[in-house]
Amino acid sequence: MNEVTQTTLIFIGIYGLLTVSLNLQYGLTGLLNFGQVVFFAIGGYAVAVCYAHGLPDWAGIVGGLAAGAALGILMALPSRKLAEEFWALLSLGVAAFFVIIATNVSWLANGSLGVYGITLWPTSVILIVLIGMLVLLTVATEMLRRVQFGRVMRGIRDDPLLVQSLGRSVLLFRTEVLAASGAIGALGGIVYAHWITYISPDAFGLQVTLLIFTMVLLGGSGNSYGVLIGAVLMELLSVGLQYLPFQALNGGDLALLQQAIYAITLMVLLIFRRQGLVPERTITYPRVTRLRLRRPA
Amino acid sequence: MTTLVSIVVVGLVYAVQLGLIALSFSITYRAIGFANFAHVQFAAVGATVAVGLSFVVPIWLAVIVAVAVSGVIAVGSDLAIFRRISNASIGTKMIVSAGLLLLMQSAIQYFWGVNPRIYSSGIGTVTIAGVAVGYDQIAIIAIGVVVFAAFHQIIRNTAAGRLIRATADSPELAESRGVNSRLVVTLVWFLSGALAALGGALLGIEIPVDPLFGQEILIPMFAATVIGGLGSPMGAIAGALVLSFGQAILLDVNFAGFLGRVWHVPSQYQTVLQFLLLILVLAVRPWGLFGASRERA
Repeated sequence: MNEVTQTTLIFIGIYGLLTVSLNLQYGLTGLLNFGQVVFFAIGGYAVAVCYAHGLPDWAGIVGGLAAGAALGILMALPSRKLAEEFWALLSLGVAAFFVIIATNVSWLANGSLGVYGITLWPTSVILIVLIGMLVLLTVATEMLRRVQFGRVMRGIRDDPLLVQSLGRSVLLFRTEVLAASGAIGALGGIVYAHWITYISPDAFGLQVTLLIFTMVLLGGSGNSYGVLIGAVLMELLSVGLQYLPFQALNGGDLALLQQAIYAITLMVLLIFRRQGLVPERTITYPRVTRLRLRRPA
Repeated sequence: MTTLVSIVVVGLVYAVQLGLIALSFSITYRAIGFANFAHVQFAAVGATVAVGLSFVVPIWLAVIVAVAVSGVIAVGSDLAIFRRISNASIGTKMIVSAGLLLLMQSAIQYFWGVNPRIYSSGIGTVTIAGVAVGYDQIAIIAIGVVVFAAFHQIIRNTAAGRLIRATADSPELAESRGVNSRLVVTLVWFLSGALAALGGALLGIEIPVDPLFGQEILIPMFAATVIGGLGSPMGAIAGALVLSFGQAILLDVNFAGFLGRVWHVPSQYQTVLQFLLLILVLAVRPWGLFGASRERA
C-alpha cells in the first residue's frame, strides 16, 4: 500500500469517526452541534497536553475520551431550556472558546505554536483501530436505530415535546447521546494526534465542523452507512484536488480552493438534494406491539 | 474621572460598531426566521471594502461604497440561495448560511491576502477630562446615535416600516392585503447587509482588518443579539451596550488589587469575557433580556 493510499484511508477513518459522532447528534437526535470540532480538538489536546507534561500516553487516551464525554454532558445541560438555534449558537461558542484558551494559555500545550513530536503510532495500528472502531460503531448505530432507544432519539429530533409528553426525559436522552458522541469525536482526535504528531489550535476551526456536516449531509443524514459514504467521497475529493493540474496555485491557495469547494458542495447539496445521496430509510414495523410507557418522574 | 471617561468612550464606540451588526442580524432573523451565520461576512465586506478603498478615496466615500456593495451582496445571497430553501428546516438553513460564511471568507482572502491592513486616519484628538479622544471615535458615536434613531423612526412611524413589520409577522396576511412580500423581504436584506457593512466599516477603521475579521465577530454578534433577545431590534442595541460596557469595565478592573498587585484580564480574552457574559444572561433569562419566552422540551 503506498503512502497516498495510507494517508487517504487514515483520514477517511478519522473523519468517519467524526461523521458517525455528528450523525448520532444531528442525524438521529436533531442536535444542531456547530461546535462538533471541539470533541475532535479535546481528544487531540488531551494527548498533546499529556505529552508536553511528561505524562504517560495512556493517560492522554483515557483522559481524552473522558473529557470528550464530560464536555458532551456539559453541553447537553442547557439544551433543556434553550431553543434549537440558541443551543446551536452556544455550541459554536464552546468551540471558539476552546480555541481561544488553547491559543492563549501557553503552559497548557505551548499556545499558538502547538506541540510537536507526539509519539507516532505505527500505520498498521492506526488502521486497525480506525477500521475496527468504524465497523463496530456503524453496526452499533444501526442496531441502536432499530430499538426503542433509537425510536426515542428520532422522536426527539422530529418532535421533542411529544416525546416529553410520553414521559421520556428528553434531557436524559440528549445527555447520553452527547456523551457518547463526545467520546467518539475525542477518539478521532486521539488517533489524529498520534498520526500527525503535531497539535496546534489552527487545525480546529469552524471549517472542520462544516466539512463534517458536509459529509453527513452528502451521505444522507440519519443513515448509518450513508454518512460513511459521504466521508469517503469528500476525502477522495480533497485528495483529487491535490492532483489536478493547478501549477499556478501554491499551498495556501490550494487550501483556499478546497475550503471554497467544500462550502459550495454543502450549499448546492442542500439546495438541490437535501436528503443526501443515500437517504435515511424509514423503518416499518410489522404490527403495533404493547406500548410501554414510563411514568414521569 | 479619567478612567470613567475612557470607559464611556471605549464602551460607546464598541457598542455602536457591534450594535449596528447585531441590529441588522436581528432584523434578518425576525424577517426570515433563522440565524444567518453569513451575516458577519456582510460586516467583513464592509470593513475590507472601506479600508481597502480608503487608500484611494476619502474615507466617507469608501464607507458609502462599502455599504452599497454589501447591501447588494446580501440581496444576491437571498435571491441565489436563501429564497430557494425557504421551505427547509431551521437547521438546514443555518448549515447553508455557515457554508456561505466559509465561501465568502475564501473569496475575501483571495482578494485581500492573509496580511492585516490598518486604516491610518491621521485624524486629530481632543482632550476631554484628561483623556485623548479621537475625532474618529466621536464621529462613530455620532453616526451610531443618528442611525439608531433614524432606524427606530422608520420602523415605528413610516409606511415602509409598517410594511416590514407586517411582513415579518405574517407574510401571508401581508400578501392578502396586497403587499408584495418578496419585494419587502428584498428590501430587508438590503437594509440588513448595508447596516452590517456600516458597523463592519466603523469597526474596521479602528482595528487591523484580515480575512478572519468575519469569524472573529461571530461570537460578539451572537452574544449581543442573544443577550438582548434574538429577533428584537432594540434588544440587539441594548445587548451591544450591555456587552460593550460589561467588557470595558471587566477589562479595566484590577483583580489583584486586594493583594496590592496589579492584574488585569489580558485583552486577548475579550471573546472569552463576552462568551461568559452570554452564558450568565442565558442562565438567568434563556430567551434574552427583551425576547419573548420560548420554552423547549
